[in-house]
This record gives sequence, C-alpha cells and structure tokens, in this order.
Amino acid sequence: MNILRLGIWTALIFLLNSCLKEEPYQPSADFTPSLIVHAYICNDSNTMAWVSESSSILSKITPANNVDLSIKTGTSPIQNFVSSTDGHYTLINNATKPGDSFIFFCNHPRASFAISGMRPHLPNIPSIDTQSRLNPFVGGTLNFDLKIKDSAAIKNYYRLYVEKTVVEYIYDYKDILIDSQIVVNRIPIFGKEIAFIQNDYNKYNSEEILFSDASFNGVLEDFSFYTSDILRKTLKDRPLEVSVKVENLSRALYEFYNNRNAHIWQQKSIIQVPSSVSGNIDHVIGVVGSFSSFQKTFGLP
Amino acid sequence: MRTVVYIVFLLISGLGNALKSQTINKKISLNLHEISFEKAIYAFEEKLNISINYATNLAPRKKVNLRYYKTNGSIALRDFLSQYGLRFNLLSSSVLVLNKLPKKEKQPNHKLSGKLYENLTGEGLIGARIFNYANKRTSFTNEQGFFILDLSKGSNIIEYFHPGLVPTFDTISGDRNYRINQAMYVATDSFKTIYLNSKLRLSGNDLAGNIAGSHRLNSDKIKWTPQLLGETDIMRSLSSMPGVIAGSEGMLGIYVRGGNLDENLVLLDGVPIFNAYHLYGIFSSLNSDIVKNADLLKGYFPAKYGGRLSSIVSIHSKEGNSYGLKGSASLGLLASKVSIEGPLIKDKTTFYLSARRSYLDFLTQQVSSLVSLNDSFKNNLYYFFDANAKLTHKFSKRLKLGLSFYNSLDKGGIKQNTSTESIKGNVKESREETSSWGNNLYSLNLSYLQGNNTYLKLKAFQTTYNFTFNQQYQIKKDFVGTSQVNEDKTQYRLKNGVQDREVSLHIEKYLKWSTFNLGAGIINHRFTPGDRYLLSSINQSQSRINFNDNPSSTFESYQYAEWTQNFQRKTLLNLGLRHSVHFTENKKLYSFPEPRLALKKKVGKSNWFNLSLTQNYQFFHLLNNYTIGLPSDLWVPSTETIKPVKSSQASIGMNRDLNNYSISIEGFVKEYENLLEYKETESYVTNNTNWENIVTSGKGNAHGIELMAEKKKGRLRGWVSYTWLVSKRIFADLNQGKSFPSRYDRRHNASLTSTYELSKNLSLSLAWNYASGFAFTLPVGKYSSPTPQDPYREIFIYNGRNKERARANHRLDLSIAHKKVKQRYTRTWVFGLFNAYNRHNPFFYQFLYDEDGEQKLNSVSLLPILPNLSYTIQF
Repeated sequence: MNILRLGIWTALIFLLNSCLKEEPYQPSADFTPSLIVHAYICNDSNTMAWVSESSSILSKITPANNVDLSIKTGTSPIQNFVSSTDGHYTLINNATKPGDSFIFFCNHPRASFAISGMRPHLPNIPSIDTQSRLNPFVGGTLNFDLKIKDSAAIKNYYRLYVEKTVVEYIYDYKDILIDSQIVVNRIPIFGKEIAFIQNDYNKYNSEEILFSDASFNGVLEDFSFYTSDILRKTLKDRPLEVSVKVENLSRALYEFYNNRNAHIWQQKSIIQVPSSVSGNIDHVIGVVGSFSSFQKTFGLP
Repeated sequence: MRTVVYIVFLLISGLGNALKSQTINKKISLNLHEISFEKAIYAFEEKLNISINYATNLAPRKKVNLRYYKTNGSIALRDFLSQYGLRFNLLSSSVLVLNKLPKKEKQPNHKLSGKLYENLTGEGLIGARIFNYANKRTSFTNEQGFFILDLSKGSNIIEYFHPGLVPTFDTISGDRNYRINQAMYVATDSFKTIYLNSKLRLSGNDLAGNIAGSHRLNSDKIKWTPQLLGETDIMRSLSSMPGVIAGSEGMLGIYVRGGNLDENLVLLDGVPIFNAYHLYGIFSSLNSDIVKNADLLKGYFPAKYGGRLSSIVSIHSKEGNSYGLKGSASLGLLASKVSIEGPLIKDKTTFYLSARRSYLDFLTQQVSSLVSLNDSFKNNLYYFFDANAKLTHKFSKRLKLGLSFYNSLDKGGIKQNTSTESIKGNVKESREETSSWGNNLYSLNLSYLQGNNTYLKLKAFQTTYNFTFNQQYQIKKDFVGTSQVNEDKTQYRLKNGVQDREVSLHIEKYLKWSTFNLGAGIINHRFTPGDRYLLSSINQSQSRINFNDNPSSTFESYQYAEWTQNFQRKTLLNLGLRHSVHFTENKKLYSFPEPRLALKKKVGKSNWFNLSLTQNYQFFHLLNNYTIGLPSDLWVPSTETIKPVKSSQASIGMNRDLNNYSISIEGFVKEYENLLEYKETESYVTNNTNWENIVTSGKGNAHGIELMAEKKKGRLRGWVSYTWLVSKRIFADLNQGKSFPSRYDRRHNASLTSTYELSKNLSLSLAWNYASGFAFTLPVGKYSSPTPQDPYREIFIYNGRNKERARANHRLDLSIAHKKVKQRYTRTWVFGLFNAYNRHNPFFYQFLYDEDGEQKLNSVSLLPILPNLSYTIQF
C-alpha cells in the first residue's frame, strides 16, 4: 500500500514539476545601436564613467574604449578621463568639490555632447547609533538610529545603504578550509519611517533607499531602520564591520537610480509591464550624475 | 305538436352538431414542410374526413408548413388558418367554408400566471418558456420561477419548456384569469424524452427571449464541460462563449469584449463577489454543485444592473429540495465536496448546504514524508475552502424569504517549527509567513407577488473581500538548571479589503404587451487599503505600532426604470434609464445617467435582428497588475482626481433559430474613458500609499465580431463560437502617448464544446479552445548599466508597449463520465484529460542564458497534460 501511495504521489509531483517548460523563441529584431554613457562625479578616487554601445537583445554588448571624456570645473582647466578596459574610465585628481558646478564633455562618432551639473553638498549627519533587534526568520540583527540635518536652501535627494565587510572562507572540494578573502556587500535594510515610504520606488530594492527632503526640508530629522542580514559568524564567513553610507545626489542621479531599480525589478517580474530607463542626456542613453557621500563604520564583535 | 316537433328538431340538430364536433375535434398529427396552401387544406380534409370550400383568391401564394402532433383538429385548423387571416364555419358535419377573419378581433384580457418548479426538488425554474398555441404568445419565468401569459377566448393549449426537463402540456380555458403552480419533470432518459413532442424553439430566442449579447448556462451544460483536476467550473464554461477572452493559460480571469478584469460583475443570487477565484485564478471559488443556472450579459445590460462596464455574470444558486433530504459527495484529485439539501418545514422551508476543501497541503506533507523531501516543501501550506448555505421560507404562496451565506478562503505560505537542544538548554522557534484571502457574503431576499402581475423584491446584503499577510517569528528559550524561560515574539500583519453593503427595492410589473421594471438602491462601499501593525515582545517588553492607511467609505445610490414593449409579436423594445450618484470620501459628487436601449425585430420566419446601445459607469477600480489577477490587488474608489470609468457600447446582430440548431452573429463597438493603468516604472501596491500618484488615466476602444452555432438536442450536443477582436488603449503617459494593444487584444478566438451520449450511462465530453497569442512587451536591445555591485548589469531597451505577440494558445480537454443508478444512490465516475495533446501554451516569456553563454528568449508554460479522476455519489 505504501508503495502504491508513493507511486501516486511521485507521479503527481512529476506532473506538477513538469509544468515549467521552456521553448526557444526568436524575436524579430530591428535595432540601431546607441551610445551609452554612465558618469558619476563624486570623490576623487570614485569618479568614474562607463561608455558602451547598445546591442540587439540577442547580441553581446560592445564596450567603447578610447572615447574622449572630460570635465571642466569652475575656473579649473579641463580634466580628461583615463580609459582602462571594458569601456571603463576614471578621473584622476578630480577638481570638483561638493557644491561646485561642472561641465561634462563626451566625444564619440555616434554622439557628442556637453552637459552641466552641480555636485551636491556633503550630507549633514550629526549621529548614527546602533542597537540589537529581533527579527522574524533571522533572530538578532542590528537596528540603526540616524539623525540627518537638511539644508533649507537647497532641494536635496538622498541615497542610504549599508555595506557589510566580511572575511569569506574558501573551502576545497573536501570542505577543508584553504583560504579566505575580504568581501564587501550591501545588506538589505528596512524601515517604516517616512524616508522609506515617501518614495514608491523604494519597494523595488531593499539594498538602498532613496528619498528627498520633502518632509524634513531644513530641519533635523531622525529615523530608524534595520537590517535583516545575519551579522553572526557562520561556516561561510565572519563579519568584520558594517558601514552606513548616506549620499546626497543630484536630482538626475536620484531619478535615474529610481528608474533603474524599477527596471531591474521589472526584468525579474512576470506580472509587470516593463519600461525603459530614462536619463538626462539628449539622444544618448545613460546619465551624468554627481553626489557627495558620508560614511560611518561600526566594528562587529 | 309544434312544440314536440321543435324539440325533436333541436335534439337532432344538437346530435348533429355533436357528431360534427366529434369529427373535427379528433386528434391529428401533421408534419409537412414547404407545401402549397392547397395541399395543406387537402391534408386537413384527409385527416378530418371533411370537405373544405373556399374562394381561390383567399389562398396565399407562399409555401406553408404544418407541424401538429396529436392536436385537436379544430384547434389545429383554426391555428393554421389564423396565420393567413382566415377562419372557418361549419356548414354541415363534413363541410366547412373558409372566410376572412374580421379585421379587428377583440383580444381578451384574461391571463394565466403562476410558477414553474422542478418536480424532484420543488425549486423554481428560471428562464423556462411558456407558449400558448392559441395566440402564439410566449412568456418566460423570472428569477423566482414566476410567469404571466395572455390567454385567448376559448381553449388555450399551453406548453411549458425548460432544457433538461420533460415538456409539459396543459389546456386552459380563456374565460377567466388563472393562477397555477406547475411541476416539470426531470427526464429519465434525457435524449429520448426531453424533446419529444416539443414544438418550441429551444434557445430562448423568441420575442421575449434572450436579449442581444447574452448567454445562459444551466447546471446540465456546466456538468458536461470537461474538468480540470476533477472540478467542473462555471467560469471555465462561460469562457467558451463568444466575446469572452480567456486570460493567461489556465487562469480563469475573463476579459469580455476588450474589457479589463475588474469590469466583470460576478453576482451570486444578486450579490457581488469581488474575487471569484481560488488558487490564483485556476479554479472558480463558486462550487458548480450549487449552481442552478448562470447568465452572461455582455451587450445590453438591463437597467437593474450597473457598476461594471464589460459583463454581468449572474449566478443563481439552488434553494434546496422541497420533498426530501438529498445530498451528494464528491472526491476529486484536488478537492472534495459535499452538499445536502431538503425541507425543514414541509411546503414552507427548505435549506441547501454545501462545502468544498482542497487537500494540496495534506498531499505535500504526505509526499515529503514519503520521499524525504526537504523542509521547505514540507512546510509549504496551501489550501482553499468554500461553503454555501441557503435557507428559503415561504410565508404564503405570495411571500417568500431567502437567506444566503457564502464564504471562500484561500491560505498559502510557509509554517515551520524547529526545536534545538544544547548543553545550555532548549530553543524552540516558530516561523510563519502566510497570505490568506477570501469572500464573505450575507444576503436577505424578500419577494412578494402583488396581485397576478406585480413582483416586489426587497434585497439587503453585505459582501466583503479581504486579503491578509501575516509574518510571525517566535522563539522560546528554556535554560538548563534555571527556571528561566525566555520568550520573544515579533509579528507583522497587513490587511486590505473592500466591503459593499446594499439595500434595494425592485418592482416588476407585467402588463398585456409590456413589462415595467423599477428599482432603487443605496450602496455603501468601504475600502480598507492597508490595516497594518508591527508587534514585538522582546525581553518581556511589549510594543505594538499601528500604521494604518485611513479606510475610506463612499456611497453610491441608483434608481432605474425599464420599459419592455412588445409590438405585434414581431418587435421587442427595451428602454431603460439608470441614474447613478457617487459620493466620494471628500464629498465630491458624481451623477450620471446611464441610458440603455435594446431592439429585437423578427425578420422572416426564424431570423431575429438585434440592436443595443448601452452606457455604463464604474465607480471603483481594481489596481491589478499586468498579467494575472493577484489576491493582493487593491480595490480603490473614484476620487476627486480619479474619475469614474465610462464605457459606451453599440451592438448589432442577427440570430437564426431553428428547432434543433441556432446560429448567431453579432458585432460591437465599445469606447472607454478614464481607464486606469499603472504609470511606467510603477508596480502593484498592496496599500493605498500615494496610489493616486502612481496611476494614470487614458482611453480605450474595442470592436469585434462574434459568431456562435449551437446544436441543442440529440445524442450529440454542443456549441462552437468564434470571436474576432481588436482592443486598443491610448494613454498620454504610456508608450509615448501612442496607441497600443491591450494585453488581451487577441485577434482570433475559437471554442468548441460538445458532449456525446455513448449510451444511457456513458457520455464523452470535449472542449477545444484556440486564441491568438497575447500582446506583450519585448526588449529589442540592451546595454550594461554598471553598479558597484554588478558592473555588468544589463538594462533592456523597449520599442513599444505590447508590440510583440505570444504564440497562439490552444488546448483540448476531454472527459468521460460513467453514471450508474443504484438502489439507494447514483454514482458517477469521471475520468478526464486536461490539455490532452500536451500543448505548451506560453504563460510568460523570459531571457535565459544557455550552456554556451548565449542569451535566448524562452516561453514558460504552466499546465501540461493533466489527468483527472473524480467519484461522486448522489442520494
């Protein structure tokens, strides 16, 4: 009887599992490549840009090397980006400071443009504290209390995220520890404060929240948030520290991040109408944005 | 002496008349088609053994038909002649002479009214046809089984007809008003008995019959539609009708004439059900056992219906057997159900109870323990449940009270308990993450028959739909060597829902050539967009934070009047006006007239021309996602900025209704205003935070042609339907303001549903459906948008909303049923195959990398070939 039952249940499971069937499909492609530019103007060592060309959906993406990228800040002379590989460009000794205006130049056979912007001021964060917290499905994790003082004169857009630095253990095929490496990853953060619920786009990505100063313009605002990440030693890794990062973004970058988070979520969703990501460069896909960032690091026991 | 002679003369004369009457009144049967008038008269002469004299100029030139079965010769002849404006006089026992009918024959005012009910259950019959052979008048029973019909002077032969029941004949004198309660009998051998002797056209397509763009399914038709996992389904049966476009593969969401999912008003005994589906839309939440019949209206909406734009699905449930305790129990692969019905007080009170539950949760637990599957499978929890209860009490022959209850519930998620023992002590953890959703409905119906021709109906109900998400974690630490027990708990709960409360009064008045429907009602819509709290109990310190979105309450009132006029039995005109008023939360008032017009005109002998014009408003909306309806989809009201959705529709069509077959063609044009869609880059919400900011309004239009042919009797029965549809949307904020196809703009849709009676106990059913592929958005290009976490993050480029088409959907479902009548009960085995040729219909598309690192587009299918088996007993 048990064998019969086993047979019936196994057949049922087999049938239910076979519901997912993938079949090849060849879409009709009528596509003209465009220039793609992503430039993030920020602190010296982080200012970078990626340039590529879009490709048909079934083709490989082509990076664009040796493109002329440069930036002019105030009265400083024009600075050129240095090309590395895979369409990756960096700016050495960036002269752009928080609050400076700049003009970004790009020269490529497909498109040439210049776009101006202003690097936002550093976010004013009087304090960040932590405390332990019990979380469903996880147990004890960290809660963060953050105070942010907004500038009344300027409309500010913020991005908040937390990074975890861990020692990751490397095992061989016999599960014997052979090495370790330091890895930095973002961890999910959640909250019910206004910063989390003000912006609908925050539902698309739990690894960063984006918010404006609309509800606390010019005042000191404090809110708390928590992570669901396990901050305990496991067989896989040992956490060393967590860093809370707050960035003050240019509006273009804020909108671009929102759109991109929505788009990435929609790519994975079967129930959503997908949409393209909009940027701030005419006739070119991508964004030229700027930000200034604050960081506080907490060591973990 | 003179007196004696006179008496003898009278006696002889009387005897002679009696003999004459005997000859002409004998029962005859005639079945002749397309013959000349002269031949028809000759046939009567032969059958009645009489001579009929007439002037040749009285004879019509066109061909005539004679179809009489065991009918009184005098009535048959009078009936035949009256069609050509003629009558007869008896000159002697065997000689008749034909004359023209007087130009205006005064019509009698006497009426036959009453109720038709099924003999086995005592339940009133809805939509049964009553035909008077004497004056060719037809009437239909209403939702209570009530009808009213004109009588002619003299003898009236009345035929009562309802599909699946034995036609019944009666002779009523036209000398006064009559009121009857007529039983109709369940056929013992359906295909030999049901249609015997019936002269009636069966589709209800006569003068007062179905209006344009409507279809009726009775329980008989629903039962022989093939099953999915052992369940027949009312909504699946309706989706085979023309104009009804099926949603995603396997899903029951219906899209009628280019409309959206929330534009269908599903009514159970006149009460709306907000979510009529179980298992994310795969099954209807309405147990098919309770269904007496179901009407689908998609063209003309009678004025008593409103609040939705695309269709009315009106389901009438059973009231319970009046004569004895009856019941049924059914065991299927997915669910089991049981129902019981009977009288509580003889001839006064009946009840009907039914319940159904799935056992997927038991199965998964059994399977995991048998084959040692992992915990995540074992802890998966999913089941659905529904229950119906109905109590009907007759205070008198005129006054009836009905009380109904309906509940449906789906619950799914993960529940897990773990226990860990260590040197320090024991730790017990409990985790739960579940979603549950369902309907709850209470209703009261009081109906009263005033006089012989007026029905009053008072209706009050409350119907609720709720979705709940619950996330809970509990940990209990029991330390060794101490009495200390540490118990911590956190819980997050979200609840959203919608509730309608309505009180209304409806009046139906039947006059000689017309019917009046009047009514008014008031509805309170209550929306709970996000009732949320976070509870934590840590180190014996408790806190509860509520962060509710404000519930809203809006009011809607409506009044309607509808006039149905019958013009010389060849034209039927329905004129209706509904007036709806909606008060938003902030006291803004929307007030709209909703005119309705339907015209039905006889063209030739069996053809009917239909025309209808309808305007509707919908005051609340379902913020549903793109592809499938989710239980968490939020109902929201019209507000100051979000205007009610408006639709205007015109339909035109022709029906041809023959004895055994009917065919119809209908075309429609539909315009929408103030449709809602999510803005690009926005997604579904489960609470009302800023929902008005993430939606956008636009217009839409749809047009199409629908064809249907049905074979209604014989061992082989069924219907075939075809729909050609174009459905477009245009929104300023979407697709760069350009027009785009709606998701279910499926150009060609065809359906074949049929049953064949192999023997008295064995029947075979099949359903085949075809639909052009749904419209979807496909990227044409891509680029990488590096992030610090993912330097190769791919972003897609789109070239137009819903520009691509999925592969066509088609599927064959088969079932074979074997029924056996035992001494105390009847048992039925049903075996079936869903998707018999294992067609992989696309459910959605996704990009995947193959083994060589090449990106490919793949379609993903959900439902392969699925066998099903069910066992039912009825007692």
